[in-house]
Amino acid sequence: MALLGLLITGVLGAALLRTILGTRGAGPGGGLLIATLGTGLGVAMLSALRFWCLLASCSSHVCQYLESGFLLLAVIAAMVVCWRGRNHSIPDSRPAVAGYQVGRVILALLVLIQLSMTLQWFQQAAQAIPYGMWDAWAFWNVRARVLMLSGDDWRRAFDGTILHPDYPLLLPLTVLRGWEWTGEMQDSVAFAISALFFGLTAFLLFALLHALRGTTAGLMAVAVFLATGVALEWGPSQYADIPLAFYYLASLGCMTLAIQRPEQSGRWLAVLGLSLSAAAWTKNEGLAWAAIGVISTSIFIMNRRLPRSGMIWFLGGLAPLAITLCVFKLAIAGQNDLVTEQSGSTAMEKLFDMDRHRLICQYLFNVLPTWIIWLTVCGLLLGVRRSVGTRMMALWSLTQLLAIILVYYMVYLLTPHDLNWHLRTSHDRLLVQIWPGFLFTLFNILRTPEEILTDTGKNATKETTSEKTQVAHAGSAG
Amino acid sequence: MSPSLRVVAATFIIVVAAYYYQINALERAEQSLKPVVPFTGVIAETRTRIARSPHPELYAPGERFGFMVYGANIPTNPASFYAFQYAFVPAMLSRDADADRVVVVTFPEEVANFEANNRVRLLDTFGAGVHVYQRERK
Repeated sequence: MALLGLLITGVLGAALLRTILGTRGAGPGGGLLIATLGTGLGVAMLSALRFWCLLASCSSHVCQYLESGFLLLAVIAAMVVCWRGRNHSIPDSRPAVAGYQVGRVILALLVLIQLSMTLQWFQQAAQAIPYGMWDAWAFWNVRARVLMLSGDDWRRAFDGTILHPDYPLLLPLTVLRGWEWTGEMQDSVAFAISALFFGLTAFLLFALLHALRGTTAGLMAVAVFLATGVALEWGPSQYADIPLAFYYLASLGCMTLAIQRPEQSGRWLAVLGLSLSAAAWTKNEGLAWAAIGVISTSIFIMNRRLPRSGMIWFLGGLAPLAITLCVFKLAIAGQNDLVTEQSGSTAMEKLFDMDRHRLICQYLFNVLPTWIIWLTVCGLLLGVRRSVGTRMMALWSLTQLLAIILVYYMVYLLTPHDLNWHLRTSHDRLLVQIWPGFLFTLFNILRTPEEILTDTGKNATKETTSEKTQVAHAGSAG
Repeated sequence: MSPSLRVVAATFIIVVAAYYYQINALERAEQSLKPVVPFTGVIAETRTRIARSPHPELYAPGERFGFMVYGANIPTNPASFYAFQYAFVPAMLSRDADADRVVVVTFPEEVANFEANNRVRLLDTFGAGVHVYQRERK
């Protein structure tokens, strides 16, 4: 039954995503992209639906009937869109695949070995820490348990007895849905959700780069992600950081697709809105990410870097989960400990306390993986793409990543808790949140081995001209 | 450097570094795993203790027990884990604050502190920090 619940989530999300993308679909190499991104967005939307069912005092059975009904509608809509779009296609603008077969085979074998080692690690973790780590049982899963057992009195999950009553509900409600589909509170459900999001993040990273830059770039990025120690350590923790990393990555990918596919930019902006609000519905850090995303996207649209009509699509995608989150925050959620325990005078002192700045920098630089050195060397060897689209994508993505790092820095600086404790217990998880998005941005900017081998200098110039024309066209269309 | 050499070097770095780092990361992660005692084990132990208790009447069916977790460092204490996941939530929901008996899960070093702050009488102990108290009414 849990598999049925998962299947409904994946199929509904994929069908809805396919419907939003319209007759052209996700383009060449887009099947995996729709499957992975759709499943992640499906999880977010169905957890929001479960929240509205709680508010409306609907039983879990009613909610499951509603899920099945939405699934049916989404599948019918997707089938109609696919049928109407059978003659439409998006030209394949990815680098040629010739000239690098041996390298690609080696990379594919490496990723397969890595996936098998990762699977073994998760099996081992499932035996050793089936209940996840501290935060998982201190509030994420305990809150799901209270919601499951409390019936009509479910608001008690937010009365402050359980830590962080202000945290958004994507994870607890997804665990709750899993338990409702299985009919009992199995610990394996929460673990499976944790493993699912880790897998989805790796596959989405590959799928995005595969669709935009070709297989090699996707394989390289996934190889680095799977070899990142902190990501592997936190993968089976059952925390919300990996799901958040997934939605950060999805946002960056959607914006890139909106920029690089002008004929579909509105539709990808809708999915961007959905991804940003899903991040906000996952964790409070995601709320900051979404706010930064809304501001930077609005500036892009106002500056005519994207068509003006894209704003309606963007807000349309943003609205469902953003409204759900607002209702939760205003009507249900408890107070945030970082805000309530803060006082104005001490906050000013903390801002100018050089010891605090030093300590934060020490922690943040310590967690920077040695990968950074190797990736810099790789970057120097492969070189950077030079095109208008790449610059726009890099500008938006790096703004997002740098702004969220700044937010994290400020939260640490002003935290009312013991700074050492706060940093020690969370700083490496913050890296996990932004790492897949960073890898996507990097490998999207770098030239692929195929581009270097086929010496596409002249083609790149042509591409740049073509992209300039497309962007200018998009701007004037708005 | 020729394009071919640059591509070979970049691929070599990714392949070798990814393999090396993943092996290292997994070794570190495996070492950091601190297995918790499965809750089924704790429940089984509780039942065994109850069956062997010189005072089985303490655990008579139908007795109302309140549960609470007391003290810090709960994650490192398997018994606390049991309480948190499987006892704390039902207790919180039933608001069994008026129960005559209370099962407290805590560290041994916290016991004295708990007893000093509460009007209770120790009835039984088991596991790695599970204490059963009788509440003393005013």
